[in-house]
Amino acid sequence: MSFQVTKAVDNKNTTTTTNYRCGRLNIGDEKKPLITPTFMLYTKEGSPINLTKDLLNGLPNEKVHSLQLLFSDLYQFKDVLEKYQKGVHEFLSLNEHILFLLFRDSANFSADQEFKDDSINVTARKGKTKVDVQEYNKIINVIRPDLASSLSVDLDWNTGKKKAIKQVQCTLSWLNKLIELQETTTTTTTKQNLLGVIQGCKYSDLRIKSVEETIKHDSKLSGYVLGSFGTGESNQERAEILEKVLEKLPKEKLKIISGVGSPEEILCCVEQGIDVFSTNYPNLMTEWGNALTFTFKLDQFKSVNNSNKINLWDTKYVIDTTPLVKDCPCFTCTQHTKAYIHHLLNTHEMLAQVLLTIHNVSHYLGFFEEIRKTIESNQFEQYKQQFLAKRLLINNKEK
Amino acid sequence: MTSNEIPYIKKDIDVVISGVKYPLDNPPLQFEILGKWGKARAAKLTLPHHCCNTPMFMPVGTQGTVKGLTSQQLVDLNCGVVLGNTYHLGHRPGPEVMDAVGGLHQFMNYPRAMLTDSGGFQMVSLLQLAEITEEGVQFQSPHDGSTMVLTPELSMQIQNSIGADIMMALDDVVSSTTVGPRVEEAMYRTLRWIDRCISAHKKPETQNIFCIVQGGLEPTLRDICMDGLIARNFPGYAIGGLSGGESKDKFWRVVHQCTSKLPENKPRYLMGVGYALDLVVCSALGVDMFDCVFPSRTARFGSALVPSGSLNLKSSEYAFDFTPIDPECTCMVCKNYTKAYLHIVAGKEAIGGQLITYHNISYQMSLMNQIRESILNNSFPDYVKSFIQKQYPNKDCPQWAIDALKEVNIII
Ligand SMILES: [Zn+2]
Ligand SMILES: [Zn+2]
Repeated sequence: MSFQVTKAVDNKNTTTTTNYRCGRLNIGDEKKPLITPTFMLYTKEGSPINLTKDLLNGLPNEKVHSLQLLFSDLYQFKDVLEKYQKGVHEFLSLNEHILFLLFRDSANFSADQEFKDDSINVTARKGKTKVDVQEYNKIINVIRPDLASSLSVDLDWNTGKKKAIKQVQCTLSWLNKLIELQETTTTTTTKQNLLGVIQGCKYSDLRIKSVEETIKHDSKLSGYVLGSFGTGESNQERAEILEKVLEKLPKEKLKIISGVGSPEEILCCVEQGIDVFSTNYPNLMTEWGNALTFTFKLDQFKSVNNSNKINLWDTKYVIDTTPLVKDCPCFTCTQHTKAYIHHLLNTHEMLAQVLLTIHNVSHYLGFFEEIRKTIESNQFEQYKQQFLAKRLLINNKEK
Repeated sequence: MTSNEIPYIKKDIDVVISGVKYPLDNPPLQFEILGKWGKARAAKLTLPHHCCNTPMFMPVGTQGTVKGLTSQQLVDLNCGVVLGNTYHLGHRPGPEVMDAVGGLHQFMNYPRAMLTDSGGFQMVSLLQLAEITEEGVQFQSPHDGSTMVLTPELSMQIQNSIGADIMMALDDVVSSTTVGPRVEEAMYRTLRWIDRCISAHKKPETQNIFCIVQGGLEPTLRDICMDGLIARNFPGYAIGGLSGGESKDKFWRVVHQCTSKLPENKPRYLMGVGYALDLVVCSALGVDMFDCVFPSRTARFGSALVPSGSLNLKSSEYAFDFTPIDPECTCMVCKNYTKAYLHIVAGKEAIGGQLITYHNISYQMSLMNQIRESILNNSFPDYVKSFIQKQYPNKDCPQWAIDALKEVNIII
């Protein structure tokens, strides 16, 4: 595995530090890199929601996608994977894609996760079980994702300091142990690409300590997960902590954030230097019957006045034979109308979710594509500014 | 004497030949038989939107969608005709929307052929308060409880709005287990309603009506009904009133009787039949078209169709089974997913339903394809025997199927 920063822009002025970049994550096959900034598709039981293999590979955007596998989901079929032996890509028929194994469920954050000094609690279908580092090491060698987070538990932003200290300490000691196990018990061929996890909730001293201790293992780590975000902090609070953390993390390594995913949040985090987002935002929109319609093309901010999103339950779409978004290249928009999707929602047909998922995921992939383009062409700051202004204007108009 | 034994007293209006004829001698449908084995036929059925190969299975897309599959996936699966249900589509989105968007083909963007039922059967089976009068099927609106009547005219009007390649005439549906005078009354009424359907049909140039043979399990009534329908010269004929709980022995005899009498050069559609054994036996008896919700419905409960029958993928016996549902199947699901993975999502996650439905439709399509190929290359009896061998390796093939096949000189 390798990660290269292909374009980086560092600006430091009195008020903000910006550090955004484009990158290229190569896993095995050099011809199929994952280009960042990007987001991971949300999965359930290992499959991207509503996307069978043909539908996933038919998305109009890049051919390599990143997906987040949730440890608690995969934990439930670890025995199956162990017997299968060929790894999780083959098992899920996701060979061409990049799979991240993470602990944080970006859809269902529970603030009351328990953990002990030596283990975390995993809520599996059959009840809660304890997983310690030894067990986790064994499981990741069986799952063999492309990148595996080190053991960690996200906590609420406003967690008391005592618990936050314990979170940071445990995360560090688990990382030490995991690296040790990886070094001693696995051969080079089965060695996993590990991600260190930065914790510490709202406490900047803890965050800094977490970074300083974690980067001692930098040569053994493929990147960093920024934990316990999207757990109740304001944008301002997030930006402040992120700045402190990102300043100290090695520039050339991949940075991943979980639980942060609205378009506004994404632009701010990209500006600060985040590479990959783990979010269920497009799926959440689908669940609500929404289609993302916001304008994300730099050259269209002046000319196009789309809503930011539309709700397909609305009876005004009963005979609307236009696509969700004009000129959207996705299957849903090239083949189907708002009227049909409204009808499918209204009759509780599963195809409604399938078609909305295709569009919403495509729309988000298109958004990230434009983010990358503007970074490459040195227009990102202008892009962000105009994007946010446009969103705000349209949000206010719709209110 | 019970009420079932009271003979039906024929009324003046009970007429077999009314003189009404289907408006076109050259409807927008061509049926060309390419090969035969006994009564079984392999044919090319050309409809306004698609040229289909028969015998064929038609997946049911009740509300304008086949459970979770996209219209592209239906094409990828090589479906020819997809069914829509007039009762459901007439209710939501309703004929006004259908007219506004240009019909069901446009609405669901399915480029191939479609067929709609009359709405009558669903009404009688879904609504407890439905009552049949000479005017039509009277029912209480599920919206506001008001009394409404689905007349033959209204059924045609809605089906014209939907715009399917094939529309079904409204018939007087009686349960296939009903006996006695009600069956005869329904048969004669079906003949009267058919004439009302013919005169209400507004688009004979682009849409075909199939009529439905009724008459319960009474050979004489079926015979009279066919006399009346054949005289009217329809583009195609359906066999109705079966698959509703009657004995299989009676079922196949009615099918056999109908396929022996219906015109050779017209397609024959057996309604609501879709189990693999029924498809094979009834193809042998000369049926060309079938439909059934079974393959998609059973998929949602985790059941996958295979040459040996079906697999309940929720069963723990598949937890470590790393083979596809059917190693012979070439569908997207069998090429990419194992039973062990499907076991994890079957009956639980939406993706489980999507994947198993996809395979099950593929199974139905390939079964029909094999039947058709074997008719064309003159190996149909061998195919039937090997099919039965796979489904019933313990030689416990149901007697009715053995009897039915023997009738067409296929000895199991
Ligand atoms: Zn789209
Ligand atoms: Zn298959």
